[in-house]
Amino acid sequence: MKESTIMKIHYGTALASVGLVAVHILMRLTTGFADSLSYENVLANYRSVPYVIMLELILILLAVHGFNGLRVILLELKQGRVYEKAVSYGSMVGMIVLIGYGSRTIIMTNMGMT
Amino acid sequence: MAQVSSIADEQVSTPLSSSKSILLRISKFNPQLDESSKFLEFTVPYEKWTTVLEAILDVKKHFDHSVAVRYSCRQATCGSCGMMINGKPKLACFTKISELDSDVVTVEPMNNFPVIRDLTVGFEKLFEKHQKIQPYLIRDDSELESDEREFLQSPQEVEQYIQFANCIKCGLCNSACPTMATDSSFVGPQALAQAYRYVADSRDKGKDTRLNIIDESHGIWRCHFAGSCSQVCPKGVDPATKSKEYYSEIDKNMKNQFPEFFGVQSSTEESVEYAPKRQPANVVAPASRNSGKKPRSIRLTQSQVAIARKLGITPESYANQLIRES
Repeated sequence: MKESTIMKIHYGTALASVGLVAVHILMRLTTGFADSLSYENVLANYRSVPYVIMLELILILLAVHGFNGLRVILLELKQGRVYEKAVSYGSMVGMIVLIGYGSRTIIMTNMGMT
Repeated sequence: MAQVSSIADEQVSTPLSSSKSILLRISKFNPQLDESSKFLEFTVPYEKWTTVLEAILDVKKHFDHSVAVRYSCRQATCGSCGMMINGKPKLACFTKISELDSDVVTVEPMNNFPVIRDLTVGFEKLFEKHQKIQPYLIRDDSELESDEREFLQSPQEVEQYIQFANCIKCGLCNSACPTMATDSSFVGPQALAQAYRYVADSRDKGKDTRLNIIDESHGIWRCHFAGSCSQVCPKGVDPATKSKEYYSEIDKNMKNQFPEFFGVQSSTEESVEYAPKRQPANVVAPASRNSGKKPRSIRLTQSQVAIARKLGITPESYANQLIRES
């Protein structure tokens, strides 16, 4: 993939994350901050399909943005053909693992497997 | 260990009538022999017009002829004598000691370059990256018609790139670049500015090729907009300004490549519509001014604005001066 495409995804995911995380934080204010974080309330959130979709989107956006950011930092830190390949593939694997593990948590909680 | 010497008893090229002197600290380092650099210190007299290069050459002539320094034109044209002067990358021949406003002048080799010896650094990587962006006009020779000897340009077309054609490849911008300090593969401000010089040239047809070259993992996207490259450029090339232009160019290219994704029409036909009046290059400068017996206003080119900035005057004052002279 071209670097310009990757960086556009990077900036796009940053902007989208800001919007969705803002909604996520504002949702804490619906029932009072402390109450909204109570065990039952959190579980209730996970059982709401629209909210779960939003959480999944936040997870994907932040994983893509974060791991690409890490890739960029590591590429600027050190250079070398093998190192750069390892960083690029490592970031990709890390991103997939994080999304996979996060999605597993979201789906299991949604299905009541807590 | 520092060596302190006095130049008082020596015959020097700088007149000894000067009552002022500075302590010149020169970095000495031979990578083949030394483990780390050390500073030699010399007391050197100077006049208002004495440059750092002249002071170094005085030291070289009278105290330590082993000091390695690269220089040639002594008039900020060849770009050979770039070095760190009191911590900032500057041309030694273009920096007067009196301008530094310091009793101690420390000279070191440029950052982000391999040291050959003392103040001399290797330019191989700079030239390699410069070469990588294909610094020449790319076009199909078959476009040349039999009676055509030159590619004409309008003054506006020349203005688009002329400032970037002033680059003397001194490497000061690369030395000041914070990204280059950690990312040795970064293409660097010098090459980026030169790529823009040809991308912006209406005679050149290699825009897509060059944008592809700089659109890689150590290309334009690693620029952090620190702007230090523009601050240190002795020729007012201002490489940092054009990073933004690259982004918009790459963006435009993507929109052309994937119009359905961006919901826009391909703009390949737009370029055909633009056909400014072309003139031979030698009438470019006068043509940019208002015609009339007493011109009251002129439009400054980008390079003229850069010259005004270098002189430390406002573009308005510079324009007024040009009007008075005309």
